[in-house]
Amino acid sequence: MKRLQISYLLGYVTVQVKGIMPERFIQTCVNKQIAIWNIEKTDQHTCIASLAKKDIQTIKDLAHESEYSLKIIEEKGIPYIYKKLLRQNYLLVGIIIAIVSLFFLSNIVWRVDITGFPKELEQKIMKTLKGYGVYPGAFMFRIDSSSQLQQQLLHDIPELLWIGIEKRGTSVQLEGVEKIIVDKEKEVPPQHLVAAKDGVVQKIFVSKGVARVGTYDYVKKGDLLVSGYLLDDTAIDEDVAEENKLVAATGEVIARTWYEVDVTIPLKGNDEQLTGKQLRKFYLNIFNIDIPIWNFSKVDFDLEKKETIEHPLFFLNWQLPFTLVENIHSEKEIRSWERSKKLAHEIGKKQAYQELRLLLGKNATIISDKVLHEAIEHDKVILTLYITVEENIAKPQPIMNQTEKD
Amino acid sequence: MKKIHQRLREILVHYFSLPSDAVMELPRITMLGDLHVYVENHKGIAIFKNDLLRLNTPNGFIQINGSSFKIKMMLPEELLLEGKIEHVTFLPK
Repeated sequence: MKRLQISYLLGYVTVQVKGIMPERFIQTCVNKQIAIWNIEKTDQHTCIASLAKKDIQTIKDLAHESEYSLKIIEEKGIPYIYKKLLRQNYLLVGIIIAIVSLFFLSNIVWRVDITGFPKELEQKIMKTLKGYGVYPGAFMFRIDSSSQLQQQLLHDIPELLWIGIEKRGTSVQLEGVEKIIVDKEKEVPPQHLVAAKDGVVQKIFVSKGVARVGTYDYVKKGDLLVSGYLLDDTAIDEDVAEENKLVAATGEVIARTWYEVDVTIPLKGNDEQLTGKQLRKFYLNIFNIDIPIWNFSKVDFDLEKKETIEHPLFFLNWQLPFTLVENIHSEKEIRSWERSKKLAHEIGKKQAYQELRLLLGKNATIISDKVLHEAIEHDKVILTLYITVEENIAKPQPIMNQTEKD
Repeated sequence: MKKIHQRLREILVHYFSLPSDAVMELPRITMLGDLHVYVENHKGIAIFKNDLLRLNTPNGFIQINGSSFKIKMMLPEELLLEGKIEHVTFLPK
């Protein structure tokens, strides 16, 4: 009976053969390798038989050549059901269209809700989100994941302290906290300013306190720069200190400091680079089996970087058991490069500057540099640089009751 | 000449214990009660009616009598007959 099921899938017909000795005709058909079943003789000159849909044309041709007449009396199987559906059953077609459109509509962002922000910030967030492709009418599965969006938003809008994004059904809900910038005038306890590093003082700006060093003085780490005692601290004792002569010294002491930086720069190397050629492929993942649905072209990159993004699909509020998988194949190439000693030298210097800036922050300025040592080892240039920097070296030091004065 | 051929086949079957249906081109008939007749190695239908099926074989005909016959399946050398079977007869040429 297995045969019957397969033929049901492919479609089969029941034909009526009329003529003298119709079984002869069936015999010729069988000899032509046509599978025939359910042969029945209804009367002396007619015969009923079933055969597969694909053999109809052959049997028609055979009937044409002979003196038998052929009539199809029944059509059965999936292909015929399908045809019938298309032809007559508009209702079913309508239902299918409805399901498909419902499925699409379930995967569209209908609403973006933002709560917890003032109006103007809300507008700003909306605008930024639009830039990311999150707006009413966008496809859900084209949006990045919530955590990615969160990070992007936090990066792009500095006013945000925290933001949570949740995709709930057809709406995207954002909830967050605004960063409120408050200038807190903190009551600073009495303090001195001391040197954080060795250096030669260049400029002194004191807003409170008494400067204890002059320009071009060489100071060592821990030396007192600006005193919190307004009076000469050698003369005063504890009692005087109590009489509001103690302040929190504030100010800046710009001094020249020196750093020794070691950098290593390779002369040769390999780089991986994307060529810009990209191929996006879409798959439908059902039970961990990827079924390709879009872009069937073969990836013919010699080297590639593959990125896989999974988009969950929804039907109304339910997440479907299959997901849309997007594979981005990017072509990459390996470039090997070589650079001259001079160039390496330059790059090394830049690198050293960068390292130092990272270490010191924005307020330091680099004045000059000097190469102390240079060597080439294993295709690498090793540089030792001596860099002079101007920076603020003042560091607050609280004054304890029994602070020892320098 | 044909007699010699037939003899040779018989000898083959006898001495080499080869399956006789394959070597001797005889039809193999399998019956399921009186419901089904399954014939292999036949050489085509001679007559088919509601109550009679006559099949060609190299040595003659096989005639099956009965009622409400229906050929469930037909391939060049195989045939499955369904119905109420009464007789299976071998008719020599």
